[in-house]
Order: sequence, then C-alpha cells, then structure tokens
Amino acid sequence: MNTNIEDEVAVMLRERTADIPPVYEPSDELLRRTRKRRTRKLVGVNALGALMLAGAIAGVGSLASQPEDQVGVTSTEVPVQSCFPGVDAPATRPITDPRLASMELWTQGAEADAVFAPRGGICSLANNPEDTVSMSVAVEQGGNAGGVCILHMRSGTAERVLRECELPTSPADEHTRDGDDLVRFTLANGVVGATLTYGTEVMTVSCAQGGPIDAIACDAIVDDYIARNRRAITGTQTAPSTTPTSTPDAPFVVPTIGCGVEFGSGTVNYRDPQRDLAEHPVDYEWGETPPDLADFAAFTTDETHVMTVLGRSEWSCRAVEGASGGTSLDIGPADADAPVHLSVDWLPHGPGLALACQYFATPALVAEAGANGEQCIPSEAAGRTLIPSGDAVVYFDDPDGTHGIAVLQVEGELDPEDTISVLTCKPGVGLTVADCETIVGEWSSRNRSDAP
Amino acid sequence: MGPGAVTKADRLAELYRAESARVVNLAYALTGDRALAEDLMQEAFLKVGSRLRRVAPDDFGAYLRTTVVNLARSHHRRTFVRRKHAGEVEHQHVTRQRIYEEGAGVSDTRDMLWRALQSLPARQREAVVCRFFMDMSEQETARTLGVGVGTVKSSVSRGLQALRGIVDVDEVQER
Repeated sequence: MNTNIEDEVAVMLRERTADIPPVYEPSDELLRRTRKRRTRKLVGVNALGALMLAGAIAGVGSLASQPEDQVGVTSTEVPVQSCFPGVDAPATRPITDPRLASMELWTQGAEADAVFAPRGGICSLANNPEDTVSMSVAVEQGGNAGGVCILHMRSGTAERVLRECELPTSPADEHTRDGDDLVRFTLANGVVGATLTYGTEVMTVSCAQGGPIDAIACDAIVDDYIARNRRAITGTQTAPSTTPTSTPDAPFVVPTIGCGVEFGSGTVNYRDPQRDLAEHPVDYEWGETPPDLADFAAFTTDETHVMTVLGRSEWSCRAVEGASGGTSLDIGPADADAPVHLSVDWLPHGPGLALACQYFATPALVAEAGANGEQCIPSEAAGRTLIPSGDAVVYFDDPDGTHGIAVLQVEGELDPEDTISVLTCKPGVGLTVADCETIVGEWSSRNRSDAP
Repeated sequence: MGPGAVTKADRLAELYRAESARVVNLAYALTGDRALAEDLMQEAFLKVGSRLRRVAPDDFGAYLRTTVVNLARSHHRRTFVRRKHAGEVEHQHVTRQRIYEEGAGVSDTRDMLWRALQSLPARQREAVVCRFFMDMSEQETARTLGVGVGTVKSSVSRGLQALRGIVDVDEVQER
C-alpha cells in the first residue's frame, strides 16, 4: 500500500463514496416548505392563513397534528402549567395565534416569565435570587428532544445568556436587529430566539428544534414571547423582523496595556506599556446589555494576546511565566490584592493537572491523576458552585462572590499542547458583579474551544 | 412576479442539484452512515433554504458545508449523550486492536482506515476529511470548521498520525 497517508485517505474516501449519485433531485416537499417558509412571517398577522398553511405542510409535527376541527378557529384556549411544583396556575389561557394551539403555557406567575411549549414537556427552573430567572422546557417525541429556554435578568451579558441557556456561539450565527430593543438570532446549530433589552434588563427566549418542536413551532414560540414582552414604546410590537442585517453592532474597543512578565529564571521583562498601546476589540455578539467599558483596558502579556484580560484602565498588572511553563496574570489596583487572575498551565504538567481536576473529571484527567496516585474529583467543598457548559467549559461562583470560568483544551490523550485556563474575578474594589460578568464573558468569547 | 422570474424555490432547486452530492459525500465521510448523511443533507438544505436571500451566491456552498459539519457534530453529541447515559461510553483511542475488535470482517487496510477515520476525535476527523477529501485549503477548512488555521494544522497532524499508525502496522504484517 502507498505509504502516503494523505493519498490513502483520499482514495479510500472516494472508493467509499463512489456509489453516491452525482446529482440529487430536490423533493417536492423541500421546495414546498421553502416556498411556505417565505410567507410564514405573515402568520402572526393573518391567523386564518396560518392555519391553512399549517394544513398544507405535511409532516410538520406540531402543526400537522392539530385536530381538524380547529381549522378556521382564530381564538382558542390552551392549558397553563406552573413550573413551580405544587403551585397552581390558571387552568387555561386564550390564544389568538393558531400556531400555539397544540401547545401549553408554562409560567412562573408573571407574564414575562412564561413561555409556550408543545404539550407534555418537562419544565425546570434555575433561579438566581439576585436577579436572574431562567426556565427551560424540554419536550421529547420518538427519542428526539427539543427545548425552549427563557431568561430574564435585571442586568445581563451575552456570557450569562450563553451560560444559563447553554447556547453555543459560532461565526455562522445570524443576528437581526429590529429596533433598539430587539435582536433576533439564528444560531448555526439551528437554535432560534430573540433578546429584548431595556436598560440593564435583558429578556431572552431561545428554541431548539427536536421532537415535536419544528421550525414553525419555534417561530411561534419566539414570536409570542416577543409580542407579550416587547414594550409599546418601540411602536413595533407586532411587526415581524425584516431588517436584513446579519452582523452585530461594531465591536467595542478599549486600549491595550502591556504587562511586565517575570520569568521563572528570575529575570524580569518590564515592558513599556506605551509600546503596546493599541485598540483591543471587545466583541460582544448579541443580546447583552452594552457594558460600560469607558474606563476598561485590555491587559496583555504579548502581541499575540494569548493572555489578555480586561480590567480597569488605571490598574496595574503582573505576569509570571514559570520555569515549568505555567503562566499567570494578575490585574488589580497597585496597592491591593488583584481581583482578576488568569492561570494557564499545560497538561499533564502536575500543577496543571491539579488545577484542571478542580473543575473537570474527564477520562483523560482521571487516568493521568490515577497514574500519579492522585484522584481527580472536582471539589465543591468550599461552597463553590460549578456550572458546566459543554464538556470543556465550567463556569463557577464562590461564596465570596468570585465569578470565574475554567476552560480545558484537551483532545484524547493528554499531551503538552493541551492546556487548562482558569480566570477568576472577585467583585469588590473597583468591580461590580456586572463588571466581573463582563470580564469573564469577554475572555470566554475569545477562549472557549467548544463553539460549534 | 412576472413570468420567467427566478423564484426562491427555483434557486434552491438549482443549488440542490449543484451541491447536494458534495454535501452527502462530506456528511458520509464525517458520520460513516449513508442514510444519515442524506438526512443531514436534507436538513441542511431546509435550514439554509430559509436564508437564501441573506447568503451571497458564491458563499452558498461554503455556508452549506459549515451547516452540515455543525449538524454532524450535533448528531455526534446527541449520540454521545445517549450512549453516556446508557453507560456505553468508554474512553478509547484509535488502536489497531480496537479496530479489529469492533470491526469483525474488516477485509483490508482501506476498510481499517475507514474505521480508524470514524474513530478519530471529531475535530481531527473533520479536519482530515476537509483537507484531503474535500480538497479544501487550510484556510477554507478553518472557516468551515469555525476554528483557527493553527487548530486545523494540529488536528490534521494528529489525525494523520493516528491513521498512519494503523496503516504502517498493517504494512509490516503484510510483508
């Protein structure tokens, strides 16, 4: 066999795919659904038309399954469920959008904290007493599940939306701004939703297709949430989104400040901050309350911005590059403990392994720790709350208010290219809780390795 | 709309005929399942069909391929979660022994290579398939996978290294 593995892979794959037809013909259903999707934005305006459309679309679960006697009905009632166990909710709720006829309304009592979902779902709450209400409803059918998530925050950032609703981001995501207060989004993984922003208040709804939740059901759920919660001040309460923009606003920009790096060998390379003054784009993607970055700066250790973290522009920073390869960056007031700290270490380096095991227990980490006679058990003994977001990202909150994120970059067996990064931010001197969310969120957007 | 005007459905049909086979090839190489590949192709066209007006004609193919990669990833994730809940997931690496154990009836090295490719970590498999089957440049691969060029290079390197180990061992045994 030819030893050129690249050629072998190509030949093997061409052999494997040789019987795939060179041309596929589109099915009538695909083309029909494409035509219909173009008109579906009219549904919210023309309920009867929507129902006729629903009947015309074969195989679309939630709508095709509507009983025939509902055709022509423009107002009906659906069940209401309370997401609080043991708390009664009104029995039914009238609706005017027939796309919701096969659904039920899950509520926590307030209109703003309620969302429709196909019947038979399982509701769960994750309320943060400070300022966050989140509710998700999962619905399964035939082993395939879809879900709806709403989030209501008194102060919010994109990072928090991602965390609470477990939404990944990708450059292929689409964002459509409709007025100052509304952004609709379609993520690359198919999740659709919208974010309403009023001052520091953020309300988000997202819908993932699956099971009985199809594209039209998701549209109906999102449209309803917007219609019930969008405030009249915009004057566009029922208007469908038509703005063809697909990119978020221009990124915020803050200055960059270089940090002195102390090397493990004992040498100190204090760099001239002026040399590094440049603009650092702070790319907030969507749905967030625009953070106040007026007195923020990006503190960085080198031109590659491998270690770059936001902090107050009047603060100072100090980086350490250990002889063993571990690195850290501290940012804070000159005369106080640094509230912002980033550690980056490699694996299976011992200190890196110990750091990673505080947050993750992947098979590779467990195996490596076991080989060293150690255990790898993420500890919550100190009251830390770990909030996994995918396999390689964990957000955490400590009892003292410290907020942080741990990111693991490992593929298969541990090797020296793999890293563990942990960023912590403690509100207090010069930083609010929202500031820490901003700092962690901005770093997360550049360093999460699991975005699809 | 006057007679002869190109409708959205017409344009989608044209794109479907031009791109669908390539998309099925990609999805099949990523998932190892022909029927699933055709399902993912359909799903991808359904998704992007609603965005035809927002995607430049020249970008449609790339947009479609990125969508298929994401759909394949979602499928793998769902499968992994199901297997994880069922207690079926063990951390295993691509080894000749494993390929033999899982692939009773493996007839030749190319069969083994196919199985080894399917056993690679997702990112390595995606990078190898995009580079050497879809003939994408490193930059195109990076855009399609939504990662940096450096990640593409390291993923390809690791993936090929794992595959090379399978083939080299086999060659030695054939001699």
